Amino acid sequence: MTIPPMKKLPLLPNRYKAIGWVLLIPFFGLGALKLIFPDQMEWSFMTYRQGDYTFFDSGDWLFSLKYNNFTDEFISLGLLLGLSLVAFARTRTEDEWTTHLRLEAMLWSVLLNTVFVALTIIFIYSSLYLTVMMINLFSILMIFIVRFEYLLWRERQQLGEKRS
Amino acid sequence: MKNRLKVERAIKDMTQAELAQRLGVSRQTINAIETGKYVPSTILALKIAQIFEKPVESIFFLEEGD
Repeated sequence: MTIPPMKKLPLLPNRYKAIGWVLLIPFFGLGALKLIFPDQMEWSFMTYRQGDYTFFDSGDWLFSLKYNNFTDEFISLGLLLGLSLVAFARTRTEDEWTTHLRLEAMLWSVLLNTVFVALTIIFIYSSLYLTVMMINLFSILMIFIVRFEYLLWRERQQLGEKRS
Repeated sequence: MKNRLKVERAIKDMTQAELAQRLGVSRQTINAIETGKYVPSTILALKIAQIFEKPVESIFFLEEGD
């Protein structure tokens, strides 16, 4: 007798979680490098240029772009994909309790992220503000993954203790 | 909400893993219910009652403040 999952959340199959980690780890490293060394992390083969346009008159839209180095776009999308696969893939034993933990972790991360943004607005200015905002593009999913994995780990720990 | 799940399981000599498998949930879920951390959905509660062949109210109880 099995219980059909109620109110099924739209999640990806479990195997995408492993794929997500494989993407996430290198792209996380690349993202960190890009933040620390923004100028060195501009791969030349990722540069698109029309005539002698530069960063300062590059255009605002993809379809009117005159100049851009796509290293940051590449890293951002890779990181976002890795994070999404890890965050939105079913756990191996996804049931109503895991779903409960998942939603709790999501609420927790949105709250923490909001506090993080507020503190950034209050305490950080100038170009450092933009840097922190860049981190913020990814932080909801990052905090969620850390929190959710911690909750699952804690559950497994407790069960291990119970058995011995 | 309180429950007698652990007792009922002992009576039937059933492990958490066996119960979990019959219900199609994880062992963590059974453990979370038994330790009072998680209140199962009505569907899961009814399925549990079905396995122990008892009415739901003799396994799950309201407590003060519920």
